[in-house]
Amino acid sequence: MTDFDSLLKRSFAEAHEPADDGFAVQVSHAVARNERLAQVRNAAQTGAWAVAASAVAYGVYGLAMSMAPEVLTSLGFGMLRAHQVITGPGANAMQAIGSSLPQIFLITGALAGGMVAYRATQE
Amino acid sequence: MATRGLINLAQAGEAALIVAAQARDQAAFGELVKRRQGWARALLRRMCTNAAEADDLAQEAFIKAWERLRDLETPAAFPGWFRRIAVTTFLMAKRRQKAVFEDIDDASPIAAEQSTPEAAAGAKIDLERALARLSDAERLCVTLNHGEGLSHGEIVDITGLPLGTVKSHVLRGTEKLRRMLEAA
Repeated sequence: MTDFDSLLKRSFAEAHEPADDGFAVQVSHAVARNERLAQVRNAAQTGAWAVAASAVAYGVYGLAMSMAPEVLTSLGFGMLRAHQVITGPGANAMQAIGSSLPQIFLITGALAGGMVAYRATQE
Repeated sequence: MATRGLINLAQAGEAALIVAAQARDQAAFGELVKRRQGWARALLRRMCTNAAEADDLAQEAFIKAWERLRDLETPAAFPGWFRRIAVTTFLMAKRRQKAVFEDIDDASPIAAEQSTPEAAAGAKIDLERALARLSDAERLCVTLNHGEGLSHGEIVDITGLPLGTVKSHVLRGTEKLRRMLEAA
């Protein structure tokens, strides 16, 4: 190390360091603001999950209620009956699926919305 | 006097403040900022030359530090850990401004620094003003090497610049400073 290198290091060490409470206060305020925003984001995320879970539960419930009679019938009268429900004229099954479309859309929408909301909160 | 739980902030050691801040104690982090701001702001002011921009970057670095404080393994590693955040914040800001750090500026020969109006007038050139005359890359490497005591390898690690580039920036920057300060 040359004399100049030593002088330079000493100059750096002795150089003025700014110090005022204003800066620390500004940082503290910014941190507090970020924390509040994070809390709001977390609350929004929790709310979004609750809404999504409710929508999924509602959709599954509706779907089960429209499909259950067919399924129960097939279970109650054996595999032949079940086969007829699925591959037979199929009108009842198709009607059941048709009437369940809103629930299917609701579940899909809720899952997609939930994933988008989750992704947004992670960024 | 500010107290928080069992910690008396004004009298607490830095390690205790860091541990408390890792537990999301904002007051402890505020005290840590108060104690470390001089070093952090001076470091960024030397790298930036613009005091207002440097303070903005220092604030950004402290906020990032707060967000990532849980990643810090031991309180003793705080200075090096924070320095890395500060340098990364500075580099990101400069890259947003399209600054180039990899190229070595051969267009500004060292000898060109010998004769400056200040030197000719016999005026005193202080360190801050001398640093301001270096390129961004030279200033960054010289500050980290001479100001922070980092080796060339550590500067490579913290900045991501190639070793040859770092050595060249340190050498050229130091030589320019030597000429400027000697001429003053």
